[in-house]
Amino acid sequence: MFQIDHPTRNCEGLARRAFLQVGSLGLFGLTLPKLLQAEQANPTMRTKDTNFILLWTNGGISNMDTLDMKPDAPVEYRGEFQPISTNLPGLSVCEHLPLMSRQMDKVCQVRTIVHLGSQHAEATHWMLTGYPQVPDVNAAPVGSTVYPCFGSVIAKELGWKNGMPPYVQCASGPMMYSSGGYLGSAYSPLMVRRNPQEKDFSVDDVSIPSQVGAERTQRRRRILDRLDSWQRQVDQTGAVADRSEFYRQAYDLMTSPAAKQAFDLQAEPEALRDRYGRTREGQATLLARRLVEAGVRFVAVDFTGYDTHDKNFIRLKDPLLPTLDRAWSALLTDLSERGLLSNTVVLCAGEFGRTPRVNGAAGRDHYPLCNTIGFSGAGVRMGSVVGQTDARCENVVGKTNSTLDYAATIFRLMGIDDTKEYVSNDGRPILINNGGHSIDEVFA
Amino acid sequence: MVFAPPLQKSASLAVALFMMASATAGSDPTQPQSDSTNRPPNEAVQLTRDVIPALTKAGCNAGACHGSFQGRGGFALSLLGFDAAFDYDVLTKASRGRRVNPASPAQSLLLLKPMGLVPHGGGKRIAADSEVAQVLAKWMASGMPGPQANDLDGLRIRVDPPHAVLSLKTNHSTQTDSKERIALCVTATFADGSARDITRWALFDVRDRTIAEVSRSGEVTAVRCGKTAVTVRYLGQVASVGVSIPFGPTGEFDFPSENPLDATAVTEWKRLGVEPAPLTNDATFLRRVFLDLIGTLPTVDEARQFQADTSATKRSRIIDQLLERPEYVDYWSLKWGDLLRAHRRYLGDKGLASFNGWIRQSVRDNKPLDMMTRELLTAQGNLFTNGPVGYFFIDDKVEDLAETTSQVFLGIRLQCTKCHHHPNEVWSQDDYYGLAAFFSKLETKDSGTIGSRFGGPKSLRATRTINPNRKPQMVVAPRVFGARPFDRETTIDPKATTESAEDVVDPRQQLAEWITKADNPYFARNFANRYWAALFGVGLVEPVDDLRATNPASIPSVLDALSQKFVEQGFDAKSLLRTICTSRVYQLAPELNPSRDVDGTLFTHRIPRRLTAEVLLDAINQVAGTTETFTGQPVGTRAIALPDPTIASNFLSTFGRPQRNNPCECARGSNTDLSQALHLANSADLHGKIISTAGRLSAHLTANRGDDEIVDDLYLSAMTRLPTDEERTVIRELLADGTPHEATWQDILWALLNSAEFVFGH
Repeated sequence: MFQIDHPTRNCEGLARRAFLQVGSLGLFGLTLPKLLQAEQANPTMRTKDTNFILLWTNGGISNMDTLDMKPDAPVEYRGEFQPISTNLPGLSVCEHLPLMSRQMDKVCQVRTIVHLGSQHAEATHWMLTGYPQVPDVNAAPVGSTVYPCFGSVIAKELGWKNGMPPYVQCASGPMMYSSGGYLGSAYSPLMVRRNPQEKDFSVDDVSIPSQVGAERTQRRRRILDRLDSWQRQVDQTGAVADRSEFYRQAYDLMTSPAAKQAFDLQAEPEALRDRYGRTREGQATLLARRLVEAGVRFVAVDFTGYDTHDKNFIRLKDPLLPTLDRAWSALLTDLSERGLLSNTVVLCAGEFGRTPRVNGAAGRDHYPLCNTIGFSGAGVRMGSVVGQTDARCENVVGKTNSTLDYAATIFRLMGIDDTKEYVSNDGRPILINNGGHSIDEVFA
Repeated sequence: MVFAPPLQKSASLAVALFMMASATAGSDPTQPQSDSTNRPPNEAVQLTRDVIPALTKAGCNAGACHGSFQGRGGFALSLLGFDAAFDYDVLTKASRGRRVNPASPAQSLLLLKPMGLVPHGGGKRIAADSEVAQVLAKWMASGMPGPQANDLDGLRIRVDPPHAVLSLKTNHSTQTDSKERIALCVTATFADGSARDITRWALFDVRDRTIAEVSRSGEVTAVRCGKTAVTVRYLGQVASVGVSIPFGPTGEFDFPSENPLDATAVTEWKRLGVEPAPLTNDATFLRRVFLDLIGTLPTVDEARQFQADTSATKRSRIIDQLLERPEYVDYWSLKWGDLLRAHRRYLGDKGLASFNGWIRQSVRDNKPLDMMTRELLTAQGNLFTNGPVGYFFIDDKVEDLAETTSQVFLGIRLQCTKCHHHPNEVWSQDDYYGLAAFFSKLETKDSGTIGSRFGGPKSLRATRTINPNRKPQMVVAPRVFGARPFDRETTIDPKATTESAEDVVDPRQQLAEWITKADNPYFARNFANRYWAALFGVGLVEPVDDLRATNPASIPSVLDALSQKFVEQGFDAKSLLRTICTSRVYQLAPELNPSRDVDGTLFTHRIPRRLTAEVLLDAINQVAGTTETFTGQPVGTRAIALPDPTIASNFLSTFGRPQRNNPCECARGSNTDLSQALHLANSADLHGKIISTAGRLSAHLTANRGDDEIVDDLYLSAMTRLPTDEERTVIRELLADGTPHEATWQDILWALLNSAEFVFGH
């Protein structure tokens, strides 16, 4: 079987060797990228075919001002927003989430996740990989292993589908710790950096530059095929063959009508685009739906600006909550109407919650002890709330869950066996998930 | 839970335990055993020498099972049984001793679980009448004696044969391979002089399963021709057995050379039946040696000059010239910067300048590597006036300093031993914390986080006593590798930490002395291997920074010869590079379709490797005739000369520039991936370089140069060779197809920059 996934208990440098062995499989016409596809094509490995859309509230969103309101807490805790009732009896949400208040039957709120990362970088590593990390002041990891983001593990486990890369991220710059980590750049996301809201929206390196054009791009490829005779002479194993396979994929992506179609937001009705909100995040969320339909497995959409140390209420009131409210609710209804909620998981989460007590600048600070997140979609017991927080949202009451439990929940929803062992880039065996237990209450 | 094993099975177990026969050497002790015994029937069963190896062989204490820190099912053993006292407590006392049953061993969980007679997460591991079951039962029946402090004193293991040569003969009439096999025999000797055949208890692994397989009982089977090694482990001792499966006789080949590397390589090739590729042509050699030694492509003029030079010594002359080029300083300083992780996140802007200044000066002066190492390891004073002090700010925890020092200078990965005995080596936690202890008598002065970012003062000085802020997790006396728990007499002066006299020397001096001594078994090999890997793209030992007995070099004799030469030359890096580059092994042609030594680990031909991020970006600019603009850097700064990875570049990140947060060689991305393909094929940036009015192509077109002149120039600059006739024909056709010439030339240049021949070194 493929050595790259062979469980090993050694501290030997198997990573590189395993890579070489995969290369040597090229003898049988199986190069690395094909191998990635072969993994997903093997029906015995997986039974589920689930997609994932992550709405990442970057900076850390306040629970008390959104989904977990505490109207009875003192005013310096509860803040100035009022709760409104939802379509889930007994549950209220913030008055600035009016659209989501009609969709709460599609959300499973989880209030039990607790971690110890109080700075953005470490907290992001906890919440995007499940594992702790101790970064330095500049958010760079200090000498320790960087774990792959959920999207990268999913990319590795599920591979390409319909000529679409498995993991795409819509953000102006890569989100922290959202890449392949020790799995390497092959599992990092394809970045959509530009604003999908813009009229001439294009995807860097994927959309053909207008000054080159489609016809010339094809001509260039023909010229390359004719001139790169060296490439043809090299035996079809190893890095050179891998590269030609990646070029094939790159061209598929650049030139396939399906991919072009997936990235073309103009094809959506104006009314639907309005429903998602004419914002960067709203249009990126719509793009996420199109990408999932086209075959992408995991799409992360970056919602920025939630680090509200000051003017928390002013900023949430406009534009943060209306932006999220539109995009999130439109996504849930849109997926539901298209029947995609049965094979797509939607998660709205950030790296931590915010301090329950309002600070002197009318803001809230970092708070990892309460961090409400919302799951929807395939396999999720929608319209429920898991766990509860105390009267001032200072602590979780009763059972808490670690980020590894949260990671296990994500992997179980995706049908991924997270007890599998990978080999880190320095040759050590590392479990996809080290001992987390999925949160049973999340599952339908 | 109430367990009631089926009576029948329980009875058969009892019968089996009565038999108390022992398996022959080489059998699998977890399986039902066959015949005779080789153990004196009355010898007492010991925890350390018998029970723990039995548990290890059955896989009980493996990392994925009860050996993990959390254990499994509430039962946690020490990883691979390296902590006997801990295991003793767990087995006999934990959970109120419910796992053992001295009165009736057959009814103990310790046996019922692995035999699968009560539910067991790990399934059935051992047979009722296996030797493992007997050992466990006998130990319980004899009152469960605990470990003795001296149980493992002087333990050594020996494997016979030390090397195995197997054959793989194809029977042409039946078209089948007859696979030869050989049984290994492992003997353990103890300080008391006793020796035991422990083959059946040893753990066997093979490094490359596609070349040979090894059974649980130590039988090695040839799978395909090539060379690999079998690792043997027993109670913290390791051994490695080289396994060769020769390809069969080669033709005669001529290999004239005076280089010491060549003679040793030839001997090994002949033994393995592989033939070297021919000597590479001048153009390929020139491109290779430029990229490998100075990270830069030859210019068109340099390529023409070299081609025109008819002297017999032109290859060695160009090597000498390249070693004196300014780009040599840039390129090797970049490598040292990666290795030592020069980065302003640790050093601040000013500290980085000081540290980089020292690196560049050392490379420029060709400071012997032992001297560089000593300067780094014993540095003290102000970072801003004494660059190497930065080493102690890049890592400030003593544990991290131990790991980095070991990995960088000795090529030993010590990380495992922070928490447990190294599973594949003899290194223990004592080695780890012994090394860390060298760094605990230091004191730093800085102004905190603000200081490091904005350039506050930073200095380091040695202290007389252990600095309480630098106390390792486990305090042991400073001691170096090789000073194993079993022969403490080689420990470096253990009193050094406890003495309070004024004349106590900085213990780092002793460490630096030991590391850089000519007879240090790791230092010279480590750098010889690193420099070899920098040139070939693959180390003699892979991974490059993982030298250990169980990870032997692909051609050990070549690494020996190179290391020896390196020592003789006084750890001189340029001489080391010269030795390698002038060898014929280095100058072999790329074999595009090898039939033997396919993966190139025997170095019979050159394996193509992708140019690294910085080199590739510089090469693209050199061919396109453009310059890159980096934030905050002077115009014209080349990527190989950037001070650290904080200088943003989308291209460099895409192509795997390391972030310098990990001393591992693996931190640099060397694979190809989709983003790279997209970026080269389709980025507006690259298109901009091709069409740049300041670029190479524009100059040609503006000057109205002839087609042949342009095509020669493009090929020489990108590929260091002239186009073939076939390529000329293709280009002539393209230029005649009616597309405007300028666009066609741009597309041709685009194709050259995107071709594998350009992107790979070969």
